Amino acid sequence: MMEKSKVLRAEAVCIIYTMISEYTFDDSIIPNKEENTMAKADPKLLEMAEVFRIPKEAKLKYIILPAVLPGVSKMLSERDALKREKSRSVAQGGETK
Amino acid sequence: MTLQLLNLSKSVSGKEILKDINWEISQEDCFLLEGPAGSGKTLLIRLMLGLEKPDSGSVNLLGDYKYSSVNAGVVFQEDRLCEQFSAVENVAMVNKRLSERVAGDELLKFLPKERIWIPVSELSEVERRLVAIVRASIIPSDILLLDEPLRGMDSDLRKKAVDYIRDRAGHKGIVFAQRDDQGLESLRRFVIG
Repeated sequence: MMEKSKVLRAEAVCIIYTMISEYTFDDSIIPNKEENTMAKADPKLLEMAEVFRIPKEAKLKYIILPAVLPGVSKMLSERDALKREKSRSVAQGGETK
Repeated sequence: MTLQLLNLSKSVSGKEILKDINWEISQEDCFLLEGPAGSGKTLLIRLMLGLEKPDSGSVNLLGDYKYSSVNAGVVFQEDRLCEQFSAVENVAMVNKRLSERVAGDELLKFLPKERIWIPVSELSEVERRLVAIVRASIIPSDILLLDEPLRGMDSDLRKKAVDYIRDRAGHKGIVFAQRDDQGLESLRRFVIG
């Protein structure tokens, strides 16, 4: 399992990326940004997302981010897994902190 | 809600695959869409979902229906799972109101606990199929469209999967598109090709 510091660093990268993406939404800075990002994602998964009407946040996290920034996506997955393990052990009374 | 196909025809690469298909699927209907490989079962499902446009004819949603395209729970011919994520995440992601706990409880009806949290890329073909079935079955939808959902399953697992799908569907219409009818013998048939 990843060190906590690496997970926090990955989260910071993702937040900065998201902020940059929002700031540069203007196509004059990065033309066709949204199309170029979507083009990297698996079209069959995008179609699945359309059929299931998957929420935008889930589409970003599970389909687009793994295609565009696979390393960051993997780190965020490990962070989520760490969080789940922590809440499971808290629920079982194994950890008080 | 009734899904109506009216005089539907569709060609692919100049070859006529579907010709003058007429079909209605209402609540409580449960059909086996039967036909050999290449007969157009997957194409027909894609037309129902609005992913393809027919060359002629129409797909209509009858009744007081708020969506422009059918709100369906779907098992695709390919699994279409997000590979690096677990079975629980793949099921829970499709609906904001669906918690990982509920998704996990449903998956445990088919998979052991240690399998539902590993990436789906590490699951067997049949396990992945089961994840796709659970994902399609537990979300709110108006119809279930299932393309080869039982592929690779033995007869016992087929029965279990079919019973699960029908139980979770409630009053929804269901279409099983399968090349063979094992486990689906009692269903009404719609044959193409």
